[in-house]
Amino acid sequence: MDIREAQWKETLPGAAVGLAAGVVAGGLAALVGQPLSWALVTMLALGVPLGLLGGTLGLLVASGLLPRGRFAPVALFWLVGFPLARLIHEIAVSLVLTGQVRLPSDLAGFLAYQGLVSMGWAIGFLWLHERIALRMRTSAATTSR
Amino acid sequence: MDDPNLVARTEVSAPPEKERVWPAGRLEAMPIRKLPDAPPSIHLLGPTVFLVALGVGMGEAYMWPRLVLLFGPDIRWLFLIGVTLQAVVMLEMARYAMATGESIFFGAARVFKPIMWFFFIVAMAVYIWPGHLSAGAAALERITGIPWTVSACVGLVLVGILFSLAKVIYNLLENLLSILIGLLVVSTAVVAAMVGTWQDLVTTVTGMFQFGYLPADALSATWFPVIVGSIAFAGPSGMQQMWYTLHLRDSGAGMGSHIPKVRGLRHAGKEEEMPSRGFMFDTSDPTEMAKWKGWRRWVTFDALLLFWGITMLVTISFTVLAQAANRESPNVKALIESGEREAALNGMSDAFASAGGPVLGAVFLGFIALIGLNATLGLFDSFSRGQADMTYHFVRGAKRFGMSRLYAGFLWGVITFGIVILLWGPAKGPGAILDVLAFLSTFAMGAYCVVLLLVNNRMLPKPIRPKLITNIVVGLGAVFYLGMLFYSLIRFGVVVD
Repeated sequence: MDIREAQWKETLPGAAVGLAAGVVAGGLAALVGQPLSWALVTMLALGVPLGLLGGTLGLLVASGLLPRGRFAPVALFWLVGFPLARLIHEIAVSLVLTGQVRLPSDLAGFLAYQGLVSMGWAIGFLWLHERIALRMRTSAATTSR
Repeated sequence: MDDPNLVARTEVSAPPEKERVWPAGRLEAMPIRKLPDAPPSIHLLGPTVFLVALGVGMGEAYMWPRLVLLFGPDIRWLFLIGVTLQAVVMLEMARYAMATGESIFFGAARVFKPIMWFFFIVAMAVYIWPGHLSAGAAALERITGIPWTVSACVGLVLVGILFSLAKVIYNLLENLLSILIGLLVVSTAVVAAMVGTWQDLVTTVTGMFQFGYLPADALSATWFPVIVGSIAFAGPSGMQQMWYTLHLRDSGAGMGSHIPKVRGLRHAGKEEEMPSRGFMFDTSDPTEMAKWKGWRRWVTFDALLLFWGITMLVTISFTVLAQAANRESPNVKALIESGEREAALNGMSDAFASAGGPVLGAVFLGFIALIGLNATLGLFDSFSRGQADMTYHFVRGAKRFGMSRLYAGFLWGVITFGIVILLWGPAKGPGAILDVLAFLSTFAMGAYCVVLLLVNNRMLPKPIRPKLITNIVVGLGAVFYLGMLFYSLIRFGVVVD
């Protein structure tokens, strides 16, 4: 396996955790009888940005730009990334539901709040990421043997 | 792999070969063995997952959000004290388990055997009732329509089969609980991000530092026992901290690496023989002491970030959710104030639904079901592990069955009893003894603080005993739990609620 392929594989756990968050939110929306379109918007508008950012984080770690297994760099990454993903989600939902692009009424307060919540997201993300990544590395090592 | 017992055996040149030992209490002395190297202190996977799975439960999801709605966010200073105290207790439980590879029950027996039997009886009395399944299963019923007794009974049998088929139970459960807790943390963060506000978060967090705040209503016969119960349920409650020493040992932490792991019933035949006592390392050797410091750093990271951090995070998220629901639907307070637990949980779910749409109501119930599943998996394993450990070491003739078979015996015993009670009996225990069970559960927490002081200060070599400040904090813990319990009992005639 060449280095590029190995780096791409490192993006998978982060992308999977991000997408899973969107799927959980959208899936629950569908389960309780929300219109399918609404559930899909929630799933995509939240899951795709979080998945892309999660994958990017994995790539940064694999390429050595961020240290592996540390909490602080991950928390800092999501301090910026999580509010951004939530902003995209809010805009996308308002666009689909009302046909207009609407920003949250108190944008600064919104971003600050999302920034604080991002700490919690970062802990959960790293927890799940490490578990999935470990499993992938173990299975890859078993296969290569 | 080399047998660590052989590798670590102390070399003595002159015959007859004499082994160095650490005498502790009246039981068999601990042979000196090598302490393994500590893993890096910064890590994410480990035995704390069990404590988090057991600890993040009804206290965090229901009891504390409920108190915040009733008395305001400033009441949360008591939660901060409760969880911080539990983090210190966790570090002290780990001190004994990592230094010896023995459970805290064994440590208690070294001090005075009846203390250990007291905990054996408390566990049988308190944890054999399947009432803890009811909240999670009832939440599942509200989402799916499946009657809660059906899902609870099926769940019980599935847990039994899963644990019986596992090669090494610890590994299976650590993997499973890690994923479930990871999902819980990620999901609560996402939902809190969607419905909460900056102001909710600020009041929730600043409320933790309003030390001394107690409104007049809180000191009434109605609410003081509820507050005592909530403090006892801040983080791990009852005997959960004591069981953590068994998980720590099975994870191979410190001298636990010299003890074989508990296997599932299907693989019980492959079990290595369990030693009749733990081991001690050479505390006069600077190299060994350096490794010990590494292990303490490892477990301190667990206690601060994983245990304290995640417990705080989940409860802050739930409190933010409760505040958001209360803002949107002011009748939530009356619903919660008046109702029984299930009624209040449904009330909170309805309030969330009116605040954020049906999605949010279902999400809340989903979290309760998930928390119930985590607690059930963790409790059944922990109960069986603790009782099997005490039986193996201290019931004559029990050793011939082996630890894994004793574990399976307790597991299937509690499952069978649980199903019988769910179908035909009182799930939480007979009404006449409910108060006694609640009393014992909280009393056990004060009692294990006293046991910790005795075990760590009398059964461990001086260089690894706790510092004075740690002893003071653990001592205050005993006063805190027992004091509030007896104050409630004497002043109001009510134990805990």
